[in-house]
Amino acid sequence: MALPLPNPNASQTFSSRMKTWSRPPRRLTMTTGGKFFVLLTLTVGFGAINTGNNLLFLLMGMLLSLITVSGLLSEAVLRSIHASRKLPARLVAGQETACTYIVKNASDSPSLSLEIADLTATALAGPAALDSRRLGLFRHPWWKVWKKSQNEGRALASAYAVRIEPKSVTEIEGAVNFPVRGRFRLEHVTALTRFPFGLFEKSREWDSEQEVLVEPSPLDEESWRGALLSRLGEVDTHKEGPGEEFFGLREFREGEDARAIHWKSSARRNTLLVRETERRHHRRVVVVVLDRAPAPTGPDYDRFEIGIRRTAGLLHSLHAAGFTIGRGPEDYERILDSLATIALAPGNPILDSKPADATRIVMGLQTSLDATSLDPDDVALSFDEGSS
Amino acid sequence: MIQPNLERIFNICLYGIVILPILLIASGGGTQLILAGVTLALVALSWVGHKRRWGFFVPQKVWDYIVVTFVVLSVLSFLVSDVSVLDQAIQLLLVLTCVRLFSRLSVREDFQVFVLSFITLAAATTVNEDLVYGIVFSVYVLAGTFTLAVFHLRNELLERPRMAFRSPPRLDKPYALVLVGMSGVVLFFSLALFFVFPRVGLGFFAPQDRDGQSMVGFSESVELGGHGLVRDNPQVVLRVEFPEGRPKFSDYHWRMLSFDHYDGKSWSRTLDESDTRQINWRRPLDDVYPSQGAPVMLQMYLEPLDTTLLPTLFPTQSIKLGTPNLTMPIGPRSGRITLDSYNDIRHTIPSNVGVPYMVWVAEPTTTRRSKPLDPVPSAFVQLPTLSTNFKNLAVQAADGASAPQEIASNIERFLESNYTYTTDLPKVGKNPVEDFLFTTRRGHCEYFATAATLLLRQNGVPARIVNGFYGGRWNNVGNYWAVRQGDAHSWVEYFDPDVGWMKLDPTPPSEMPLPNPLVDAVRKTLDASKLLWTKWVIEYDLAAQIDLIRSAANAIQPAPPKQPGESSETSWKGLVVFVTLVGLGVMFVFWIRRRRGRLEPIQAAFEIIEKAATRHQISRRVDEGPADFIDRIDQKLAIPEIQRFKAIYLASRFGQDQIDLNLLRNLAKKIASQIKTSPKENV
Repeated sequence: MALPLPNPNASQTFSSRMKTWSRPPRRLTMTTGGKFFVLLTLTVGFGAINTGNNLLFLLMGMLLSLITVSGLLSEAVLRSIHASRKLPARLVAGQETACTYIVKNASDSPSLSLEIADLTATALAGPAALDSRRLGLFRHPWWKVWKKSQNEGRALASAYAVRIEPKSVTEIEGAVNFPVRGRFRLEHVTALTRFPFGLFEKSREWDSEQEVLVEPSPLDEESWRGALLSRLGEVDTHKEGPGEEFFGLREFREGEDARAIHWKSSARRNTLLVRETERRHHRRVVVVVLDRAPAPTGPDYDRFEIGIRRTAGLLHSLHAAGFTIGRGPEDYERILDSLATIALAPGNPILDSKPADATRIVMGLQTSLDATSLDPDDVALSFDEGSS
Repeated sequence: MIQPNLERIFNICLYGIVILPILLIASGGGTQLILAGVTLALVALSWVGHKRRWGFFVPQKVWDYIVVTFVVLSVLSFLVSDVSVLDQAIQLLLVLTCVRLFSRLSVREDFQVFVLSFITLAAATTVNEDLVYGIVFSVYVLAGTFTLAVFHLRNELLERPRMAFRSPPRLDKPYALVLVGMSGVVLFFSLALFFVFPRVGLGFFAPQDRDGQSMVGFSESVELGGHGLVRDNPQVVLRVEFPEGRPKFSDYHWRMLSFDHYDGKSWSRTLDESDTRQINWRRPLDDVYPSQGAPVMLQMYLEPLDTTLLPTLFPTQSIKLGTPNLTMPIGPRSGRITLDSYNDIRHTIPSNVGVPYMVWVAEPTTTRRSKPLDPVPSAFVQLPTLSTNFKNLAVQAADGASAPQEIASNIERFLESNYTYTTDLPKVGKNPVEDFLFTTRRGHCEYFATAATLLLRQNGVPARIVNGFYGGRWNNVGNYWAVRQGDAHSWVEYFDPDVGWMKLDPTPPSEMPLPNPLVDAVRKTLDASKLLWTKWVIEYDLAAQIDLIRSAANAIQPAPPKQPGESSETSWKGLVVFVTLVGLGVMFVFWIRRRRGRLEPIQAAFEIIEKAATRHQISRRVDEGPADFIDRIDQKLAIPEIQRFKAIYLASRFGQDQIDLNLLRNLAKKIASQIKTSPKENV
C-alpha cells in the first residue's frame, strides 16, 4: 500500500508560507556606480530623443545593452547555485572568525564573482533583543536613489569566490563577525553578485534557520585580576598529588621516576622510599552577575555592557589560573553562555545563598551591589569602578 | 595591492578607452591637432605618474585650481572671441580627463575616468559622424565592456585584500574568455537595440542631417574657359541599386540641370523658374522623353548636396521619393518632386539630408509619335553673335541633313572625328567656342556640348546643354552603381517635334587610366561601408525603421501560390548555406559532447545516476559526498550493482585507477534504468 509522502510545508504556519510565497525570487539594488550609470543612460536617451542624433541612439543602445547583459549574466550566476553555511561553534562579539559556506553549482557553466552572506540576524536574547533589533545589513528600497548607498551596515558573515566551477560543490572560506553579544537567529543564506560590471547587485536567498550564541568580547581588567588573586590564594587538599609541600613516604614502585626517591630515608630504612607531596588546589569560585538594578539609566546600560566584557575577561583569567569556576568545566561553559545573553533589567537584585565551599564573587552595577546584602566573605566587584 | 597582471590589464584597457574618443574628436576636427597631441602626451605621461603615485604628492586642491582656472579662461575666451561653446566643452572634457588620470588614487576616481571617456565619446558625435565613428564605437564597446568587467573584478578583490593574494590567478583564461564573449554580446545587443528603439519623440521632426557635399565636378553654371573637370575625384554622390535588373542600355547619363541661353562665354537660364509642375509618379513623363518597353525601377540614394536637383537617368519615365516599402507622408524626408520648363527635376527635401528615391527607366527610342508635340520655347534656338566661319562650319557639320535626328547624328560624328578630348585646356580667347572649333581643336565636354548645341541651333534644331554625370562604376562589394564627383559631364539635348527631347553626347571617348586594382578594391569596400553606415546608422529614422519592418515582414510572409505553368525556382544558394550552417551546428554539438565525455567520463557516469535519482525524488544534498549519496540510494532502493559502481567510481576518481570507461558508463546506465523502474513506495 502506498503511503502518502510527508508534506514538507505541513509544519509551516500560514504566515510563514505567505511570507515565503510573497518573497521576490531576486532582489536587485543599484550600486553607487550603477546610479551614475543609469543617470548617464537617461541623459543620453533624452539627448538622443530630443535631437534625433542617431549616434546618440547608438550610445544609448550600448548603455541599455550593458544593463541588459548585466541582468542576464547576473541571473546566470545565481540561477543554478545553492548555498548553505557552516559556522564555528563559538563566536565572540566584535571578533572576526573564520566560517565556511558550501556552494553547489548545478549549472554547466561556472558562476563568477559570487558572494555568499548572512546579511541579517534576529536577536533572541541579550541586549539587542531588548529593543527587538535586527543586526546586519539593511537595504533601502531600490527607488530611494538619493541615498548615498542602498545598503547600510554590513553583512554578519560573508565569503567571496571569483569562480565556482560547473557541476561542483565548493567550500568557500569567509568570515563571520557579530558586533554585539547575544543569541541570534540566522534565517536566510543569501547569494549576491555584482557580476559582470559592478553596476547592480542581484541576490537570491534560501531559508536556512540557525541559532547562534555570541559571547561577549573579553576585556582584561588588571585591577580586578590582581585584587582577586591576592585575596583568594590556594588551599590544602590533604591528598597526595603534585605539589611542593611534604605529604609522606612510601615504598618505591617499579617503573617510577628515580628522581622521586628520598635517598636519606631509603638509606636509613634500607629500602627504596619515595617522597610524596600534597596536592595543591585552587579555590572554587562562584560568579554572580547582578542583572537587576533599580531604575537603570542609559549610561547604566553602557556600563553594564563594559562590565559584562570585563566579567568575561576575568573568567578567562581565573580559568587560565586554574580556579574551579562553579561546579566544574561544564559550569564554566554555562556561565559563558549566560554572559552572552544576560541583559540588564529594572528591579531589585536577588542573591542566592552563598555556597559553603566556594568564594562568591558578586559583580554588577554599584546601584545593584548597594541594593544587595552581601556576605562579608563575598568579593564584590563594581562595574562602575576600574580602568575601562 | 591586487594581482599585478589584473592591475596592468585594467590600466591598459582604461587608457585604451580614454584614448579612443580623443582620437575620434581629433579626426573629426573637434579640437586643434596641437591640443589633441598635447592631450595624448599628457595621457601618456599620466601613465608614468600613476605608477609613481604622483597623485599622493599633489594635493587635490591643486587639481581643483587647474580646472577652475581653465573654466574661467574658457568663459573669458567665449566672451571675447567667437569660439563655440561646443569646442570649449570638448576642451574642458579633455582637461578633466587629464587631471583625473593624474590624480586617480581610488576606485571612485577610476570610475570617473571611465565616465569622462564615455562623455567624450558622446561629445564626439557632434564633430565626427563618419564611418570612423562606427569603427571606434565598435572597438570602444568591446574594450569598454571588457574594462568595466575587469574594473568590477578588481574592485571586488580590492575590497577583500586577502583574496587578492590567494591562488589561483584571478583573471585566468576562462574568466577572460567569458569577458571577451560578453563584450561581443554587448556589441550585438547595442546594435539590436539601436535598430529597434522607436525613433519617435521630441526628435521626430528633426532630420538626420549631414553636411552637404560641395560639388567639385558638377556645376550649376557653365562658363567656358574655366577650369578643367576633376576626373579623379572619387567622392560618391549617387548610389544606384537595380532591384529589377539593369536597364537595357549601357551608357548612363544622369541628368540634372540644363541651360538655354549662351552669351558667347557662359550659359544661363532665362525661362521662368517659377513655372514648375508637380510630378505624379503614376503619370509617366512620356511627353518629355521618348521611351519604349517595360520600365525598370532604379533605387537611388543621393548624398546630401548643395542643390535640390535630382539626378535622373535619361530617359526617365517616372520618379518617386522614398523606397518601395515606404514613402514618408510627413517628416523630414517627405517632400514633393517638381518639373520645370527645362524638364529639370527638383525635390523639396532639405539639402542637408540624403534623399532616397526611385526612378523608372525604359529603353530610349527614336520612333515617331502619332501626333507631333507642341513647339518648345524660342529660348532653345537662341544664338549669340557668331562669325561666318561658324555658320559655314554648321552647314558642313550637318552634311546636308534636314531632319533633326540626322543633323544631330552628323554633328556628333563631325565633332568626334575632328576634335580631341582633353582636360589640359589650351588658352582660349574671348570667343571660346570658336577658338575651340577653329584654333585649339581640343577641349573638354563643356566645349563639345556647347559647340554641338550651337551647331544644332544654327541648323534650326532646338537644343540645350545639360549638366549631370556620365557613367559611374559598379561596386561589386556593395552591389550598387556608384556615381562619383569625377563623373561630372556635359552633353546636349535636342528637340524633335515628332519624337521629343533626344540626347546627344558629342564628346569623344577619352582614355582613362585604369585604377590600381588594390586601391580600387579598397576604395569600393570603403564606399560600400560608407553607404551602409550612412543608410543604416546616420540616416536611420522612423521611415527607415518602418521600411525595415516591412522588409522583414515581406521576407517571412508565405510565398504567393504559384501560377499554373510557372517554373519552380529554388534558391540553391540559400539552401546550401542553410544546410551548411545546420551541419556545422550539429558537428559543433557533437564535438562539445565528445569533448565533455572525453574530459570527464567518470563524472559523467556518476551524473547519469544522480540525474536518475533526482527524477526519482532522491536529490543529492549540498554537503553530501558521492559515496554517501550512493549509499543513500542503495538504502532506499536496494539497487543490486550500485555498490559495485561505487567501488569502481571511487577507485577511479580518487584512487587514479585505470578502468574500462565503457564498463563504468554501461553500469551507470543500467543502475539508472533500475532506479527508474523502482517502485516509488520505497522512496
